[in-house]
Amino acid sequence: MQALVIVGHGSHLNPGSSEPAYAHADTIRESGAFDEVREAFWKEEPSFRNVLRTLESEEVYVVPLFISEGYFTEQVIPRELRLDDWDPEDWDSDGTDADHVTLDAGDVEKTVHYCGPVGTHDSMSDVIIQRAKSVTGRETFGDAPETGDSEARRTAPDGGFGLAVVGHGTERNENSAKAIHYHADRIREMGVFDEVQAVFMDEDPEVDDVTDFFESEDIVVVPLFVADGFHTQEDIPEDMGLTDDYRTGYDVPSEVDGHRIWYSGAVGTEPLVADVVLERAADAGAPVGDAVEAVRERTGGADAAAGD
Amino acid sequence: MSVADALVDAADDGVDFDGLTVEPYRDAYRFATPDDEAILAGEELRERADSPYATNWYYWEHEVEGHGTARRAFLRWLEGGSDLGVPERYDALRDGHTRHWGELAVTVVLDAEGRRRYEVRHEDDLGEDVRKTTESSSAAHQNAERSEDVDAYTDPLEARELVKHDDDGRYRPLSTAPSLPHGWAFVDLDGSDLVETVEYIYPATVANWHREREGDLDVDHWEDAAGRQTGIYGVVSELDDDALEWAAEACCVDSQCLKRREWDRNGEEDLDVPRGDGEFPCREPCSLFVAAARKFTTLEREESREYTFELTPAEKEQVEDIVDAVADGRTDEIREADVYEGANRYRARFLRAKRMDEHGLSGTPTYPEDHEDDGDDDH
Repeated sequence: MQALVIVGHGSHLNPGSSEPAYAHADTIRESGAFDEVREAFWKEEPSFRNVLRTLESEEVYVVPLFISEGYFTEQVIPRELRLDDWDPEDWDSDGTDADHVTLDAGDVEKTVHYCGPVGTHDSMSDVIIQRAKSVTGRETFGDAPETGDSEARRTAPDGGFGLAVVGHGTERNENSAKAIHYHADRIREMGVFDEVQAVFMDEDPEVDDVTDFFESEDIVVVPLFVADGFHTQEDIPEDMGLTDDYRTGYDVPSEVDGHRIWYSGAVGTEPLVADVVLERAADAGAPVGDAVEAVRERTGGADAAAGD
Repeated sequence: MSVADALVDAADDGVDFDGLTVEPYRDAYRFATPDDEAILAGEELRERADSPYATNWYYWEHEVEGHGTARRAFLRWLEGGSDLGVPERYDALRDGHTRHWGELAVTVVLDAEGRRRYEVRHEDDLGEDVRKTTESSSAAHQNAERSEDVDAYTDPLEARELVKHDDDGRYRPLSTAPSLPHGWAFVDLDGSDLVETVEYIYPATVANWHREREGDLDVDHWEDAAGRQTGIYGVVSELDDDALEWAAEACCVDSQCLKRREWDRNGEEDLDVPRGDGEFPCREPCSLFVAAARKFTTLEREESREYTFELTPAEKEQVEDIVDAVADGRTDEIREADVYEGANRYRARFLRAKRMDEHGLSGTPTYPEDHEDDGDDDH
């Protein structure tokens, strides 16, 4: 038997924090790729400490539903799961290319395949694009041909579409910014948008000034956060000037400084994230059969992923 | 595979389970139960497939399986273990046999084929009629008078959302807090779905209970758990002995959490706080306790000071009433006009109007040194 464990942060205060983990777990359950699928949390139950013992499977794939590599993925999760032989060097990552490592856990007779976080997997770029499509209701952005002629894109008659990928910033972890830049760079190279810019909550370039960084009339703003909460629902909309008071809500799109801002909310709630979770496990050797295709089909990611 | 086929299939290797023995005997088989013994040919063995001993064996060995798992141990426990003989157990199960798990009541019922079906609900809702959820969402039902019925569910995954908030709609960050909401029942579950449902309502309780029964519960005492913390929680190791007692009294007693605390300060020193009477153990301080301990740790860094202010005896008691009401979670129960309760809102507002100003209680600043220049003419 094999199990998938999605490990998330969770919250003692915000009941919505665990919802993306539950939703993506359900999508993967539906695919039938694993005998058991379980969610575990730092702040909710089952805890990282107790989750492995709730499983009957001998092979366990653990995928962190976290955005960046760092404190949680390198210290907290392996420690709490009792992956005693874990060494962050095993991922051989410079901050955005963690893969997986196979370890024993100290409290159970199981083989644990500990995977890198969803946030730094290449497929997360597809999810960001998918998120932009969901919030705008568009299949393409701008009239420019997607052949890479940047001059043609800049002069697109409709004013163009830009993408801002928002990250928390360096407050706790330098890799946090790396993950944002990584996906912004990848998406820029794909040529899907006229402009792509990484912005942050607590470092330059700041999300407060998002309209300063774009010539495009339309700007899709996608926060690279796992769950909606204080930052994505209160701080960022107010910082960007979508609203003076988050409680009164805001329009999508909202007009700010002559730009239309399409604010998407946390990328982690996009159904296609289930595909990234599954791919993390598949990369670690989980025999998932045709589940990846099935999950992409189900979550609207078939087209996005086909572009890889 | 039918019970009869399974019985014939297993007979050559022999069966020895819950009082049933089947084994090869000369050219036939010996079929023995505490009530009966017979030598039977293969075809005659089939005729015993409706024996309670045979259906019981089939259920546990062909449907539940999972020897050594917590799931199997829990399902066995629900039937009262192996103390009762199979016929007696079946008599009990036919009418529905209920055991309690935290605030849950889990009922096992034997169906006509000897299979077990399980139901789980809040123990306070035992005896309430179950309403199919499809009915409950129909317009006809919405117009019906509100009843005490409970809504029926069959998908264990729905438990996650159902128990996320208490009856007053407040988020429950601790699954084993005694605030399980009412009004639902998971019905017609098989064993796996029952265990999964319980797992979603009280995560990991079955696994740790099983470990405890097997004698290998791995308890992490406070010093281990605190010593492991990093980041913003690294400070909790500073929490002193008295404060740890107070913290456990605040967070871990039965009125706050239904797990039975098995951890102490360390392996040598027990805490004085009662462990609780819960069926399932608490094997280490949980994340909520650690987060609270972090706050207690920083609060405990402050030294006590002497403050001088005046209260009437009734006001002193009222302050105590207010602390008690908050600590016991009773503020919602105190009626609007019940001015005989110290923690009544009007009483509290009267006290505030009389005894508090911008300096707080009785006009005494919290940090008098910050107000040394204020002088006597301060209003």
